[in-house]
Amino acid sequence: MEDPKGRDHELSRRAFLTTTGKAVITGLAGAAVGEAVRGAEVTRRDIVAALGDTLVPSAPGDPGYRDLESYGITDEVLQGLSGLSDEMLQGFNAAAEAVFPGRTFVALAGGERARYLKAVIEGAVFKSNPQQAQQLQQVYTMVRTRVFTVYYSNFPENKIPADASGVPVPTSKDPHQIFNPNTSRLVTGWDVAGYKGPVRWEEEEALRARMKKIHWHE
Amino acid sequence: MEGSVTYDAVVVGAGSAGCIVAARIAERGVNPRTGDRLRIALIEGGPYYFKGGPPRPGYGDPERRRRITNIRFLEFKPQPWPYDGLQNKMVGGCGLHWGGNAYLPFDEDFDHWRQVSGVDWSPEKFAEAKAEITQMYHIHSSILENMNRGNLLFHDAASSLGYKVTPVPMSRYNCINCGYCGSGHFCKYDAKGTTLPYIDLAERNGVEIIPDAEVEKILIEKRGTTPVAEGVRYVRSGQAGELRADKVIVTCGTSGTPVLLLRSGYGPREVLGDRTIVENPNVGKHLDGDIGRSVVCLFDVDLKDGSRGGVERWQLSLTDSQGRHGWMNVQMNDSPNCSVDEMYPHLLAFHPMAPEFGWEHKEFMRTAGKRVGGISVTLRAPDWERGVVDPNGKHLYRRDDPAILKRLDEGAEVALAIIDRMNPRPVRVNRKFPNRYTVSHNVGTCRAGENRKTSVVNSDFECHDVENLFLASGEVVPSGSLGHSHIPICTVAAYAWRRIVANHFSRGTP
Repeated sequence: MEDPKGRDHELSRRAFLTTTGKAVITGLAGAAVGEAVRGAEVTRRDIVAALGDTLVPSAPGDPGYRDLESYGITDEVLQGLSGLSDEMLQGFNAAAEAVFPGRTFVALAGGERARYLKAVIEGAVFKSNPQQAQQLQQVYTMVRTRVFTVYYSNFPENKIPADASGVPVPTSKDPHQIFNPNTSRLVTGWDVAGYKGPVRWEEEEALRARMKKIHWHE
Repeated sequence: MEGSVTYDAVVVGAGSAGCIVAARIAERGVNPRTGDRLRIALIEGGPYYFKGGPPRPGYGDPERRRRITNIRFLEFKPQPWPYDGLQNKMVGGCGLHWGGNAYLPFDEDFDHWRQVSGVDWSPEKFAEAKAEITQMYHIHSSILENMNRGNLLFHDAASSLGYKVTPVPMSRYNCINCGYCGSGHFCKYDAKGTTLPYIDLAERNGVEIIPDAEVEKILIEKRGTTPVAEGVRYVRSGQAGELRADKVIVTCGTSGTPVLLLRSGYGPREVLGDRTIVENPNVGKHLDGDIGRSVVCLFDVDLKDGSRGGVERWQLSLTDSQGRHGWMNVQMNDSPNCSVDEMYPHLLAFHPMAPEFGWEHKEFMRTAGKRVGGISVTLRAPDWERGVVDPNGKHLYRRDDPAILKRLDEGAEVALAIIDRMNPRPVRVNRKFPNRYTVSHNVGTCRAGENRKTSVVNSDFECHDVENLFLASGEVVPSGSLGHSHIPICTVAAYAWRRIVANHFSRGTP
């Protein structure tokens, strides 16, 4: 759980993201974000956001993790990382110094961050301290698992309108109980992967018509 | 219902087996003394989603459809007690999550069952049960028109190597082959392996379905020196209650039944200690299932022909000439790492062929969804050290038996030979196999058999040690069959109701 100081900083971080949002959308490289947070206190949110941006990178015309920050993707990722301590994350951030002297992970540019992650995965740089190497890999694995799971589960279009008990509620215009939360308004993980999600009614009717022509018995 | 009525039978657990047993006993059974209709209760820890008229397979039920739509079976709801299997609790069971492959027990299964536990089951005795399940679950061959490029690659390559390749049997009603099921979403139309017809049958024959009632224990009392099952204790909406019944039929499955028996004081003394009411060392033992591994590939062609894929597939069998380490099924299929149906992106992201992260990973995500495939190798009926279900429902078994690994290696070599014969060949193949395996589709944890030294119930599903107690779901099946265990378990349940009606609910039976 974050302390009040951390929450204050969360707010300032959110404000930072808001003010830099336009720049991010127009393709500001991860390096610029890294430079911007240099010198400020680095929170677990900063570190996870930087990891998310490295795991699922963005470029102009090719949206990724960073483009979903304004929809709260790092909040969502953090919700599943309660088992990852601040100390471990801060240690992960600080250990970049072994590869890039004098610099932390969040202060690195995009390509540098990728090089650091490769060093963590390979472990060679940290072979003199196997415990540290193992801990860094643990942080990487936990964050990678959570980031990919959230991002490629169609966040933020992964919620279906539901009643108080969580039961999906169809819109009055939908008599067929078709619930596909994906839209064309936003590029999500499903869109990146070209995944259509559950069949829509027109597709369902087409599939049904096709199956009706097939004799099912041998 | 509470406290005021004694039922002729209470069936505990409304999964597939429970629905079959409750419905058919209510339909076909009578009070042996009076000839009157039976009063049957079917009690279930999970919800009952049907509203209005009888639910229909292939159409589902609006309420049930609404509640399970877009939910993976892993996410359905937290389990009230720990299950290591992937069961979900709801009236009708969770057969609706699976891809629909439907293997009736083979003659070899009966041979193996008789061999391992002395049970007297045979293909002849099961003929009516098999016919019933074939009809009720609409078992048919995979539809050749739906076979996609990945399936055909497997078929042509395996055939050219001289293997006999056959279509996998399926259990489906009105399936539209949408491809939105194989990786774990519920079928919102209950099109696959659905038990809905039996729920309808149960309703029409007066079975009292009691959902959302977690059975805590079977009431076992001593009459003289004989332990007798007299009902169940349950909790519903935070309130404890009891149901009294002349017969208690437990159908809580491979994980649930041993846990319930242990909670009731019935099981190995080494586990229960002072809580032992009735001792039987076999409760929770002999965990079996199919043992498998996959050979994963990445192709540079679309294996799904631009579609979402589907559940149809080809298969072949490999018999061990020495007969000791079981026989294998090899097929290009939909296991999480080798998909011919469309793989969910959040699973594809962790595919063994996926790069670690960054632009390479993103490019893989963009292009690999329809290009990943693979061959699964499933070993069944091996001679191996069986596993255990512990009192918390945890499955414990050895995952590195050298004989099993050797046999799986043999299967994987066959899979690789088939892959090498494919045209086009995959651009990448994982040729390094893990030195571990998983056991799924579990059965056998309170198995049927000849005597109490090696089993928990007899061949007629009557408990060796506790009068009026019967077990009739996956836990009694002596060893794993092929593929998804749903249809073999349903077939055993269809045999169970026949034996229970013949022995206990027919006019003039004792």
